[in-house]
Amino acid sequence: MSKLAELTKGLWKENPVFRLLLGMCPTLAVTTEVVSGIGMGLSATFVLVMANLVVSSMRNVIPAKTRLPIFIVIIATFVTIVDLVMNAYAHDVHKSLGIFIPLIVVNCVILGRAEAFASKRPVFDSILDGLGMGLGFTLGLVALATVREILGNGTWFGMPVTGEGYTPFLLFVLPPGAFISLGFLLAGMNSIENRRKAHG
Amino acid sequence: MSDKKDSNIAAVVVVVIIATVCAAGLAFIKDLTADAIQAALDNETLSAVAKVVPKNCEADLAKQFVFPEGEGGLTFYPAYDKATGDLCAFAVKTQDDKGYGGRLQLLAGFSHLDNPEGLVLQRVYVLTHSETPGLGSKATVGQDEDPDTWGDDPVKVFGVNFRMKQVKDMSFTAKKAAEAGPNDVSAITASTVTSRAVTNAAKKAAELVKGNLEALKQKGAR
Repeated sequence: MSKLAELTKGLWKENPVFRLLLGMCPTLAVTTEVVSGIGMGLSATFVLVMANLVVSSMRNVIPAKTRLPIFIVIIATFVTIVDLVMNAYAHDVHKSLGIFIPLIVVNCVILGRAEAFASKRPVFDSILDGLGMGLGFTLGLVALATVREILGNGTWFGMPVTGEGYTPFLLFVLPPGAFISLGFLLAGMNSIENRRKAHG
Repeated sequence: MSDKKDSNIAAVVVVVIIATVCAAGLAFIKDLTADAIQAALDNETLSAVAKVVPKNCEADLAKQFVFPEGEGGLTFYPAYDKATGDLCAFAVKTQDDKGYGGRLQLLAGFSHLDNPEGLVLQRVYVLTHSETPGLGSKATVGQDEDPDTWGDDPVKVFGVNFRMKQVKDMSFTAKKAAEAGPNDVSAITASTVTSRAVTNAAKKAAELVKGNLEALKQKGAR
Protein backbone atom coordinates (compact mmCIF):
# COMPACT_ATOMS: atom_id res chain seq x y z
CA MET A 1 0.00 0.00 0.00
CA SER A 2 1.39 3.44 -0.93
CA LYS A 3 2.22 6.02 1.74
CA LEU A 4 -0.66 8.20 0.59
CA ALA A 5 -3.06 5.27 0.87
CA GLU A 6 -1.86 4.61 4.47
CA LEU A 7 -2.85 8.17 5.29
CA THR A 8 -6.15 8.35 3.43
CA LYS A 9 -7.59 4.92 4.27
CA GLY A 10 -8.79 6.25 7.67
CA LEU A 11 -10.73 9.06 6.05
CA TRP A 12 -13.18 6.89 4.10
CA LYS A 13 -12.35 3.24 3.35
CA GLU A 14 -11.48 2.32 6.95
CA ASN A 15 -13.03 5.31 8.72
CA PRO A 16 -13.05 4.38 12.44
CA VAL A 17 -16.52 5.84 13.09
CA PHE A 18 -18.43 4.94 9.94
CA ARG A 19 -16.67 1.83 8.61
CA LEU A 20 -14.98 0.12 11.58
CA LEU A 21 -17.52 1.34 14.19
CA LEU A 22 -14.77 1.77 16.77
CA GLY A 23 -14.71 4.32 19.61
CA MET A 24 -18.50 4.49 19.71
CA CYS A 25 -18.70 5.64 23.35
CA PRO A 26 -17.08 9.09 22.88
CA THR A 27 -18.61 9.30 19.40
CA LEU A 28 -22.11 9.17 20.82
CA ALA A 29 -21.36 11.12 24.00
CA VAL A 30 -19.47 14.24 22.92
CA THR A 31 -21.15 15.03 19.61
CA THR A 32 -23.78 17.42 20.96
CA GLU A 33 -21.60 20.33 19.79
CA VAL A 34 -19.15 20.55 16.86
CA VAL A 35 -16.53 22.26 19.05
CA SER A 36 -16.52 19.34 21.51
CA GLY A 37 -16.32 16.90 18.58
CA ILE A 38 -13.24 18.67 17.18
CA GLY A 39 -11.64 18.84 20.65
CA MET A 40 -12.14 15.12 21.18
CA GLY A 41 -11.09 14.25 17.62
CA LEU A 42 -7.85 16.21 17.72
CA SER A 43 -7.00 14.90 21.22
CA ALA A 44 -7.50 11.33 19.98
CA THR A 45 -5.45 12.12 16.84
CA PHE A 46 -2.51 13.33 18.93
CA VAL A 47 -2.67 10.22 21.12
CA LEU A 48 -3.00 7.94 18.06
CA VAL A 49 0.01 9.44 16.28
CA MET A 50 2.22 9.48 19.38
CA ALA A 51 1.17 6.00 20.58
CA ASN A 52 1.71 4.56 17.08
CA LEU A 53 5.11 6.26 16.85
CA VAL A 54 6.34 4.92 20.20
CA VAL A 55 4.84 1.43 19.81
CA SER A 56 6.24 1.08 16.30
CA SER A 57 9.73 2.26 17.24
CA MET A 58 9.80 -0.17 20.18
CA ARG A 59 8.15 -3.08 18.38
CA ASN A 60 11.31 -5.18 18.48
CA VAL A 61 11.86 -4.82 22.25
CA ILE A 62 8.27 -5.13 23.48
CA PRO A 63 7.75 -8.74 24.69
CA ALA A 64 4.68 -10.43 23.20
CA LYS A 65 3.43 -11.56 26.60
CA THR A 66 3.25 -8.11 28.15
CA ARG A 67 2.49 -6.08 25.04
CA LEU A 68 -1.04 -5.08 26.05
CA PRO A 69 -0.11 -3.59 29.46
CA ILE A 70 2.78 -1.78 27.74
CA PHE A 71 0.47 -0.37 25.02
CA ILE A 72 -1.93 0.82 27.71
CA VAL A 73 0.86 2.47 29.72
CA ILE A 74 2.10 4.29 26.60
CA ILE A 75 -1.42 5.35 25.57
CA ALA A 76 -2.31 6.45 29.13
CA THR A 77 0.84 8.58 29.25
CA PHE A 78 -0.09 10.52 26.12
CA VAL A 79 -3.72 10.85 27.24
CA THR A 80 -2.57 12.31 30.56
CA ILE A 81 -0.34 14.75 28.69
CA VAL A 82 -3.34 15.85 26.58
CA ASP A 83 -5.44 16.12 29.75
CA LEU A 84 -2.89 18.33 31.53
CA VAL A 85 -2.02 20.53 28.56
CA MET A 86 -5.67 21.00 27.59
CA ASN A 87 -6.61 21.83 31.18
CA ALA A 88 -3.88 24.46 31.24
CA TYR A 89 -4.27 26.08 27.81
CA ALA A 90 -7.78 25.18 26.52
CA HIS A 91 -9.63 25.15 29.80
CA ASP A 92 -13.15 25.61 28.38
CA VAL A 93 -12.88 22.74 25.88
CA HIS A 94 -11.37 20.60 28.65
CA LYS A 95 -14.37 21.39 30.84
CA SER A 96 -16.90 20.52 28.16
CA LEU A 97 -15.21 17.18 27.34
CA GLY A 98 -14.84 16.30 31.04
CA ILE A 99 -14.46 12.61 31.79
CA PHE A 100 -14.16 11.71 28.08
CA ILE A 101 -10.56 12.95 27.92
CA PRO A 102 -9.22 10.38 30.45
CA LEU A 103 -11.44 7.80 28.76
CA ILE A 104 -9.45 8.16 25.50
CA VAL A 105 -7.16 5.59 27.17
CA VAL A 106 -9.76 2.90 26.57
CA ASN A 107 -10.82 4.15 23.13
CA CYS A 108 -10.54 0.98 21.09
CA VAL A 109 -9.43 2.85 17.94
CA ILE A 110 -6.14 3.64 19.66
CA LEU A 111 -5.43 0.26 21.22
CA GLY A 112 -6.69 -1.32 18.01
CA ARG A 113 -4.20 0.56 15.81
CA ALA A 114 -1.33 -0.09 18.24
CA GLU A 115 -2.04 -3.82 18.23
CA ALA A 116 -3.10 -4.34 14.61
CA PHE A 117 -0.79 -1.90 12.86
CA ALA A 118 1.96 -0.10 14.77
CA SER A 119 3.31 -3.19 16.53
CA LYS A 120 4.03 -4.79 13.13
CA ARG A 121 4.89 -1.94 10.77
CA PRO A 122 7.66 0.64 10.27
CA VAL A 123 7.59 3.93 12.15
CA PHE A 124 6.71 6.25 9.25
CA ASP A 125 3.83 4.06 8.06
CA SER A 126 2.53 3.92 11.66
CA ILE A 127 2.60 7.70 11.98
CA LEU A 128 0.65 8.05 8.72
CA ASP A 129 -1.81 5.38 9.87
CA GLY A 130 -2.32 7.18 13.22
CA LEU A 131 -2.75 10.55 11.53
CA GLY A 132 -5.21 9.20 8.96
CA MET A 133 -7.24 7.27 11.51
CA GLY A 134 -7.26 10.27 13.87
CA LEU A 135 -8.41 12.66 11.17
CA GLY A 136 -11.01 10.11 10.06
CA PHE A 137 -12.24 9.87 13.65
CA THR A 138 -12.37 13.68 13.87
CA LEU A 139 -14.25 13.84 10.55
CA GLY A 140 -16.77 11.29 11.83
CA LEU A 141 -17.32 13.23 15.05
CA VAL A 142 -17.72 16.53 13.20
CA ALA A 143 -20.22 15.02 10.72
CA LEU A 144 -22.32 13.57 13.54
CA ALA A 145 -22.02 16.71 15.68
CA THR A 146 -23.03 18.91 12.75
CA VAL A 147 -26.30 17.02 12.31
CA ARG A 148 -27.01 16.96 16.05
CA GLU A 149 -26.09 20.56 16.82
CA ILE A 150 -28.03 22.04 13.90
CA LEU A 151 -31.18 19.95 14.41
CA GLY A 152 -31.07 19.81 18.21
CA ASN A 153 -29.90 23.30 19.03
CA GLY A 154 -30.30 25.37 15.86
CA THR A 155 -26.61 26.32 15.94
CA TRP A 156 -23.33 25.32 14.25
CA PHE A 157 -20.05 26.06 16.04
CA GLY A 158 -22.27 27.84 18.57
CA MET A 159 -23.61 30.30 15.95
CA PRO A 160 -27.34 30.41 15.16
CA VAL A 161 -27.96 29.02 11.67
CA THR A 162 -31.64 28.11 11.55
CA GLY A 163 -33.25 31.50 12.13
CA GLU A 164 -35.75 32.67 14.75
CA GLY A 165 -38.69 30.55 13.58
CA TYR A 166 -36.98 27.18 14.16
CA THR A 167 -37.85 25.27 17.32
CA PRO A 168 -34.85 23.04 18.15
CA PHE A 169 -35.60 19.33 17.90
CA LEU A 170 -34.35 18.52 21.39
CA LEU A 171 -34.21 14.76 20.81
CA PHE A 172 -31.07 15.18 18.70
CA VAL A 173 -28.91 16.48 21.55
CA LEU A 174 -30.19 13.71 23.84
CA PRO A 175 -28.74 10.16 23.71
CA PRO A 176 -31.45 8.70 21.39
CA GLY A 177 -30.65 11.44 18.87
CA ALA A 178 -27.04 10.27 18.79
CA PHE A 179 -28.07 6.74 17.81
CA ILE A 180 -30.65 7.93 15.29
CA SER A 181 -28.25 10.39 13.60
CA LEU A 182 -25.45 7.80 13.51
CA GLY A 183 -27.86 5.26 11.99
CA PHE A 184 -28.84 7.60 9.17
CA LEU A 185 -25.24 8.65 8.51
CA LEU A 186 -24.17 4.98 8.37
CA ALA A 187 -27.01 4.22 5.98
CA GLY A 188 -25.95 7.16 3.82
CA MET A 189 -22.31 6.04 3.80
CA ASN A 190 -23.27 2.46 2.92
CA SER A 191 -25.54 3.62 0.14
CA ILE A 192 -22.79 5.78 -1.40
CA GLU A 193 -20.31 2.91 -1.06
CA ASN A 194 -22.71 0.41 -2.69
CA ARG A 195 -23.38 2.75 -5.56
CA ARG A 196 -19.64 3.29 -6.01
CA LYS A 197 -19.06 -0.46 -6.11
CA ALA A 198 -21.91 -1.02 -8.56
CA HIS A 199 -20.49 1.59 -10.93
CA GLY A 200 -16.84 0.69 -10.35
CA MET B 1 12.26 -24.23 31.92
CA SER B 2 15.06 -21.78 32.64
CA ASP B 3 14.54 -20.07 29.27
CA LYS B 4 10.86 -19.61 30.02
CA LYS B 5 11.69 -18.12 33.42
CA ASP B 6 14.24 -15.78 31.86
CA SER B 7 11.80 -14.55 29.26
CA ASN B 8 9.21 -13.90 31.98
CA ILE B 9 11.67 -11.85 33.95
CA ALA B 10 12.70 -9.93 30.82
CA ALA B 11 9.04 -9.19 30.06
CA VAL B 12 8.48 -7.81 33.55
CA VAL B 13 11.69 -5.75 33.42
CA VAL B 14 10.61 -4.14 30.13
CA VAL B 15 7.20 -3.21 31.60
CA VAL B 16 8.86 -1.69 34.68
CA ILE B 17 11.36 0.32 32.61
CA ILE B 18 8.66 1.67 30.27
CA ALA B 19 6.34 2.52 33.16
CA THR B 20 9.16 4.33 34.98
CA VAL B 21 10.10 6.39 31.92
CA CYS B 22 6.43 7.27 31.35
CA ALA B 23 5.96 8.27 35.01
CA ALA B 24 9.05 10.49 34.90
CA GLY B 25 7.83 12.15 31.71
CA LEU B 26 4.42 12.78 33.22
CA ALA B 27 5.91 14.22 36.41
CA PHE B 28 7.83 16.68 34.22
CA ILE B 29 4.73 17.68 32.22
CA LYS B 30 2.65 18.02 35.38
CA ASP B 31 5.25 20.32 36.87
CA LEU B 32 5.36 22.32 33.65
CA THR B 33 1.59 22.83 33.49
CA ALA B 34 0.83 23.19 37.22
CA ASP B 35 0.99 27.00 37.28
CA ALA B 36 -1.04 27.41 34.09
CA ILE B 37 -3.73 25.00 35.37
CA GLN B 38 -3.96 26.86 38.69
CA ALA B 39 -4.17 30.18 36.83
CA ALA B 40 -6.95 28.81 34.57
CA LEU B 41 -8.90 27.55 37.60
CA ASP B 42 -8.44 30.86 39.45
CA ASN B 43 -9.54 32.79 36.36
CA GLU B 44 -12.62 30.64 36.07
CA THR B 45 -13.54 31.23 39.73
CA LEU B 46 -12.80 34.96 39.55
CA SER B 47 -14.91 35.47 36.44
CA ALA B 48 -17.81 33.49 37.97
CA VAL B 49 -17.56 35.44 41.25
CA ALA B 50 -17.41 38.75 39.34
CA LYS B 51 -20.78 37.86 37.79
CA VAL B 52 -22.62 37.51 41.11
CA VAL B 53 -21.21 40.48 43.05
CA PRO B 54 -21.96 44.18 42.36
CA LYS B 55 -19.91 45.71 39.53
CA ASN B 56 -17.98 47.97 41.92
CA CYS B 57 -16.76 44.98 43.95
CA GLU B 58 -13.81 42.70 43.27
CA ALA B 59 -13.08 39.30 44.81
CA ASP B 60 -9.79 38.41 46.46
CA LEU B 61 -9.29 34.64 46.12
CA ALA B 62 -6.62 34.69 48.84
CA LYS B 63 -9.34 35.64 51.36
CA GLN B 64 -11.71 32.75 50.56
CA PHE B 65 -12.80 30.63 53.51
CA VAL B 66 -15.13 27.77 54.40
CA PHE B 67 -18.01 28.40 56.81
CA PRO B 68 -18.93 26.66 59.04
CA GLU B 69 -15.53 25.02 59.17
CA GLY B 70 -15.29 21.30 58.44
CA GLU B 71 -17.48 19.03 56.37
CA GLY B 72 -20.71 20.52 55.06
CA GLY B 73 -19.36 24.06 55.17
CA LEU B 74 -19.80 26.35 52.14
CA THR B 75 -16.96 28.23 50.43
CA PHE B 76 -17.19 32.03 50.74
CA TYR B 77 -15.45 34.44 48.38
CA PRO B 78 -15.42 37.91 49.95
CA ALA B 79 -15.46 40.83 47.50
CA TYR B 80 -14.16 44.30 48.25
CA ASP B 81 -15.13 47.74 47.00
CA LYS B 82 -12.74 48.67 44.19
CA ALA B 83 -12.52 52.28 45.44
CA THR B 84 -12.46 51.97 49.24
CA GLY B 85 -11.29 48.38 49.70
CA ASP B 86 -14.08 47.68 52.20
CA LEU B 87 -15.91 44.35 52.27
CA CYS B 88 -18.99 44.86 50.08
CA ALA B 89 -20.30 41.42 49.07
CA PHE B 90 -19.99 37.67 49.45
CA ALA B 91 -20.12 35.08 46.70
CA VAL B 92 -21.07 31.73 48.22
CA LYS B 93 -20.47 28.38 46.51
CA THR B 94 -23.49 26.31 47.43
CA GLN B 95 -25.06 23.12 46.17
CA ASP B 96 -28.01 20.79 46.19
CA ASP B 97 -27.82 17.06 45.57
CA LYS B 98 -31.42 16.67 44.44
CA GLY B 99 -31.20 18.02 40.91
CA TYR B 100 -32.71 15.85 38.19
CA GLY B 101 -29.21 14.68 37.27
CA GLY B 102 -27.82 14.73 40.81
CA ARG B 103 -25.60 17.41 42.28
CA LEU B 104 -26.00 20.99 41.11
CA GLN B 105 -23.48 23.63 42.18
CA LEU B 106 -23.96 27.36 42.02
CA LEU B 107 -22.58 30.66 43.20
CA ALA B 108 -24.94 33.03 45.01
CA GLY B 109 -23.92 36.65 45.52
CA PHE B 110 -25.04 38.70 48.52
CA SER B 111 -24.60 42.43 49.04
CA HIS B 112 -25.86 45.14 51.44
CA LEU B 113 -24.12 43.45 54.36
CA ASP B 114 -24.94 46.13 56.97
CA ASN B 115 -27.64 44.08 58.68
CA PRO B 116 -29.36 40.72 58.08
CA GLU B 117 -32.70 42.39 57.30
CA GLY B 118 -31.31 44.47 54.45
CA LEU B 119 -29.37 41.63 52.85
CA VAL B 120 -29.79 41.47 49.06
CA LEU B 121 -29.38 38.39 46.85
CA GLN B 122 -27.61 39.83 43.81
CA ARG B 123 -28.06 36.82 41.55
CA VAL B 124 -27.06 33.17 41.18
CA TYR B 125 -24.70 31.54 38.68
CA VAL B 126 -24.86 27.79 38.00
CA LEU B 127 -21.33 26.35 38.04
CA THR B 128 -21.90 22.64 37.40
CA HIS B 129 -24.99 20.57 36.71
CA SER B 130 -26.08 17.37 35.00
CA GLU B 131 -29.60 18.48 34.10
CA THR B 132 -31.38 17.44 30.89
CA PRO B 133 -30.29 19.57 27.92
CA GLY B 134 -33.14 21.80 26.79
CA LEU B 135 -35.21 21.20 29.93
CA GLY B 136 -33.46 21.50 33.30
CA SER B 137 -30.44 23.11 31.64
CA LYS B 138 -32.66 26.16 31.01
CA ALA B 139 -31.63 27.15 34.55
CA THR B 140 -28.44 28.46 32.91
CA VAL B 141 -30.09 30.45 30.09
CA GLY B 142 -28.63 33.95 29.86
CA GLN B 143 -26.35 33.51 32.83
CA ASP B 144 -23.25 34.49 30.87
CA GLU B 145 -24.89 37.61 29.52
CA ASP B 146 -25.30 40.95 31.25
CA PRO B 147 -28.30 40.66 33.65
CA ASP B 148 -29.46 44.09 32.41
CA THR B 149 -30.44 42.35 29.16
CA TRP B 150 -32.55 39.69 30.91
CA GLY B 151 -35.81 41.64 31.13
CA ASP B 152 -38.08 40.83 34.06
CA ASP B 153 -39.90 37.68 32.95
CA PRO B 154 -38.74 34.66 35.04
CA VAL B 155 -40.30 32.32 32.46
CA LYS B 156 -37.84 33.54 29.82
CA VAL B 157 -34.77 33.79 32.06
CA PHE B 158 -34.86 31.66 35.19
CA GLY B 159 -32.15 33.81 36.82
CA VAL B 160 -34.65 36.69 37.11
CA ASN B 161 -36.14 34.82 40.09
CA PHE B 162 -32.96 35.40 42.07
CA ARG B 163 -31.87 38.79 40.81
CA MET B 164 -31.65 41.73 43.24
CA LYS B 165 -34.07 40.25 45.78
CA GLN B 166 -34.36 41.21 49.42
CA VAL B 167 -33.48 37.96 51.22
CA LYS B 168 -36.04 38.63 53.99
CA ASP B 169 -38.87 38.80 51.45
CA MET B 170 -38.05 35.60 49.56
CA SER B 171 -40.08 32.46 50.23
CA PHE B 172 -37.50 30.22 48.51
CA THR B 173 -40.33 28.03 47.23
CA ALA B 174 -40.43 26.97 43.59
CA LYS B 175 -43.95 26.89 42.17
CA LYS B 176 -45.40 26.54 38.69
CA ALA B 177 -45.11 29.90 36.93
CA ALA B 178 -48.91 30.37 36.87
CA GLU B 179 -49.22 29.84 40.62
CA ALA B 180 -46.09 31.64 41.82
CA GLY B 181 -46.51 34.82 43.84
CA PRO B 182 -44.10 37.76 43.64
CA ASN B 183 -41.89 36.31 46.38
CA ASP B 184 -41.90 32.74 45.06
CA VAL B 185 -39.65 31.22 42.44
CA SER B 186 -41.36 30.57 39.08
CA ALA B 187 -40.27 27.07 38.13
CA ILE B 188 -38.93 26.25 34.66
CA THR B 189 -41.65 24.54 32.60
CA ALA B 190 -41.37 20.73 32.91
CA SER B 191 -38.33 21.08 35.18
CA THR B 192 -39.70 21.52 38.68
CA VAL B 193 -37.03 19.26 40.17
CA THR B 194 -34.21 21.39 38.72
CA SER B 195 -35.94 24.61 39.78
CA ARG B 196 -36.33 23.26 43.29
CA ALA B 197 -32.65 22.24 43.45
CA VAL B 198 -31.47 25.73 42.41
CA THR B 199 -33.89 27.31 44.88
CA ASN B 200 -32.78 25.06 47.74
CA ALA B 201 -29.11 25.70 47.05
CA ALA B 202 -29.73 29.46 47.06
CA LYS B 203 -31.81 29.11 50.22
CA LYS B 204 -29.03 27.21 51.99
CA ALA B 205 -26.57 30.01 51.23
CA ALA B 206 -29.04 32.79 52.08
CA GLU B 207 -29.90 31.30 55.47
CA LEU B 208 -26.24 30.80 56.33
CA VAL B 209 -25.37 34.39 55.42
CA LYS B 210 -28.42 35.85 57.16
CA GLY B 211 -27.90 33.87 60.37
CA ASN B 212 -24.14 34.45 60.68
CA LEU B 213 -23.59 37.82 59.09
CA GLU B 214 -21.39 39.30 61.81
CA ALA B 215 -19.16 36.23 62.07
CA LEU B 216 -18.83 36.12 58.28
CA LYS B 217 -17.97 39.82 58.08
CA GLN B 218 -15.23 39.30 60.66
CA LYS B 219 -13.80 36.35 58.73
CA GLY B 220 -13.98 38.23 55.43
CA ALA B 221 -12.52 41.50 56.73
CA ARG B 222 -9.16 42.49 55.29
